[in-house]
Amino acid sequence: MDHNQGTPREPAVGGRAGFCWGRMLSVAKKEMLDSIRSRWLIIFAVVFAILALIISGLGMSGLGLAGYEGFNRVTAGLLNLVLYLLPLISLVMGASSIAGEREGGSLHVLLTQPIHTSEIVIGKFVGLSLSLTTAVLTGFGGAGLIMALGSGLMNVKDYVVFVLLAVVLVLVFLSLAILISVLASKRSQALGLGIFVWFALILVYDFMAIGVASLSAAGAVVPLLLLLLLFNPADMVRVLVILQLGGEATFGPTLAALTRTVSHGAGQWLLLGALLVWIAAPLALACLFFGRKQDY
Amino acid sequence: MGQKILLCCFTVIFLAAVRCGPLLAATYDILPEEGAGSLGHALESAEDGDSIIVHGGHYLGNVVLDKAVSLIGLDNPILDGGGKGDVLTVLVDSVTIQGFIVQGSGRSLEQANAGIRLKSARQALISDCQIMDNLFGIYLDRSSGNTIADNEIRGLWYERDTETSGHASDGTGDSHFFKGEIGDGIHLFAASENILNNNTISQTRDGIYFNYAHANQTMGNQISEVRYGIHFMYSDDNLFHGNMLTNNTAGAALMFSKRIRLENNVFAYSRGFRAYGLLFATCDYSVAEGNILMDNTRGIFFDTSRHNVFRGNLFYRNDVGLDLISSASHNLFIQNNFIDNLQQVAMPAGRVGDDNLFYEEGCGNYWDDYRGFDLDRDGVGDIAHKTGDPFTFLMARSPAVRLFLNSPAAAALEFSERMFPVVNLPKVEDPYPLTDPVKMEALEAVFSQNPAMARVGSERFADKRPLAGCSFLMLITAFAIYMWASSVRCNRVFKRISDFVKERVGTNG
Repeated sequence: MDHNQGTPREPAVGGRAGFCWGRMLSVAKKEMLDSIRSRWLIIFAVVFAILALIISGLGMSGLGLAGYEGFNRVTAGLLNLVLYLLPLISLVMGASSIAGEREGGSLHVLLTQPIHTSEIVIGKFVGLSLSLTTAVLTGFGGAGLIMALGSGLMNVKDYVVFVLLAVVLVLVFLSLAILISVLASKRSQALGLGIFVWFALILVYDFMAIGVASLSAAGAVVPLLLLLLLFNPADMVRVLVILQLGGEATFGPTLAALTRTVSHGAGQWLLLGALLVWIAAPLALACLFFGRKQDY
Repeated sequence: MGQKILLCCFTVIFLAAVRCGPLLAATYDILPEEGAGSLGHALESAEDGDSIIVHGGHYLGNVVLDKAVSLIGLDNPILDGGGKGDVLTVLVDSVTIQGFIVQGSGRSLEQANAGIRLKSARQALISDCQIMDNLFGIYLDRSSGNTIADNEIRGLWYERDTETSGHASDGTGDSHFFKGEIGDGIHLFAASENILNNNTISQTRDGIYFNYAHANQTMGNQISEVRYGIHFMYSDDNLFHGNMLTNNTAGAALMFSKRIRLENNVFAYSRGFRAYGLLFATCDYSVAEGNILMDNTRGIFFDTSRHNVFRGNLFYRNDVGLDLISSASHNLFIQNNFIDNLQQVAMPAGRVGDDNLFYEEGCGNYWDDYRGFDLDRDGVGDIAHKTGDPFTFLMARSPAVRLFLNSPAAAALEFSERMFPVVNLPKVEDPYPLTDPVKMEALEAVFSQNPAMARVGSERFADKRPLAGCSFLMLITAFAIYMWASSVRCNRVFKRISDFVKERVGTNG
């Protein structure tokens, strides 16, 4: 907002020519302010932190021997929390952002300003990413402190990688959500579509993939699974987290070739690259469609 | 008169020397400057019960002990076989060997060349030796009642590993590279009632190999980076207590043996695609109590073994806690803790096997994935625990499914199966699941004597400060982002402060 005050106001049509970081950040800040004012950021952060704390607290086995606590249970629990909750929240928040403003009418006002459409799209994305990252960091930070004070269940490097991958998951699903939000004509439509995507990617896709994996021909299954992995960001994040926490033997001998590929050198970059594409591509498409759209 | 007394004295001394000679043991000092032959000379002239003290230095050549002497090394003298035969061979009873570095045995597996070989020798004591770079460390050939304690035995693997490092990563995922021409740390052939205590063994073929060796006592040893930490073959009635077996292909392999007692041992980090914490193959009537099986690919693998009892063990963080092949029968598992295994019990054949029971007299095991309740507060869950869900079942049938470990879909499958048990899956049933873990008090005593063993569980999390620091940093970052976004309010606060300061400064000025 401060930036707009400083620069001379250009006509709306001409002002859309270039991409300006300042204007984008203003949109992002406004988006974050909205989420702070509407209290959902606080509520989500607190709920996420409480769930993470409960999971890490329940992991203590009470065996009386130091070090033999339920490490897998905790990580599996945290992983499931991340895989269920974060995509859902990201999709719901992202889907309702642009579609919601369009329905509320505030988008019209925003578009009369000298601001590029891509600045709005990316600004919304950055603002929501920052809000959700704040919530995730609060939750994981609190849980990490409890773990460190209690049993120190987790290796610090593993934990940091876990949190980073959780943030990446948020970014991927927010990007998808923004695309949905741009495409949908109504808020309710966007929300419905978002939940459908969540259901499809988190549950249906995996069920089908499990079906593929139980095919008997192991030679054909492994490349197919790698392909299936690349097409589902949630699965990629899960596999990367498990490889980081449990090592490559976790997935067993049959998948040794796959886990080796994925956890070393080029394969690792392939997965991280795919995740980046998953963040960038939907966002780029959203910018494109939002710029072309005539009926706001 | 004086001469007479002198003569008398001499006679007495002479008689005393003659009569007491064998009783008052002579002591020979061997110095390295006198050459390696001096040790042989001393052995030739020594009598039973004499002590030979060998001072620090390098002694090349094979040594044969055929008299019951005490061979004591001062300042770690090196006995070097020069790559031929056995370095030190003991042919008689009651020999003591202490404080040597024994190295350079022959490399012939046919002759089983060893650092120290006991041939039909009894009551020998071998202690505080470092036995390096030999084919076999110590070979007990039909030798019973010996004590082998506080030795350090390292095999040939290290150099072979580096030599063949190109082949080591052959994609099998085994952490070690095996080659036939390596012997065992301690090999017992038809040797019974020996005591093997507090030895450290690494990089050999098997740590301790019991072949037709009965009623031996093995306590407090640390065995790592070998094929089988302990290998029992046709060896009955052995006691195995307080040992630590880490990073082996199999911690212990019990084959064709009976009545073995395993107490308070730690079997950890046996990783690889064919690795086991504990391998039972045709091993009957054995008892395992208070052991920890941790972070192994398979905790225990059971094959054709009957009438064994597992009580109060901890299966922790294994990929598969208990791998039960249906040819195993009549085994009893009670009061064990199954914590954090990816799969608590696997049944490759699809059934539990005859009379393998997980409860006795109203007492079962502790399962950390038990989701029942205990209304009467008697420490036993009110509904039975059944291991195995559709996902683990699928995983057993086609291992590639494992890629979807911990996925929401897997959790949904498990949940739906619990709500609507339509499919009939093979399951282990424990009608008396314990609600609290079984305390392992005996282990704490072992841990207090062996701090290295106590560290095994907590190794990964030695220092908690980085985690605390990182978590704190996360909270700070979150707070910073929050403050940045709500900086409108923030600015207002700052403005109020600066106004206040200005006011104060203004009034003062």
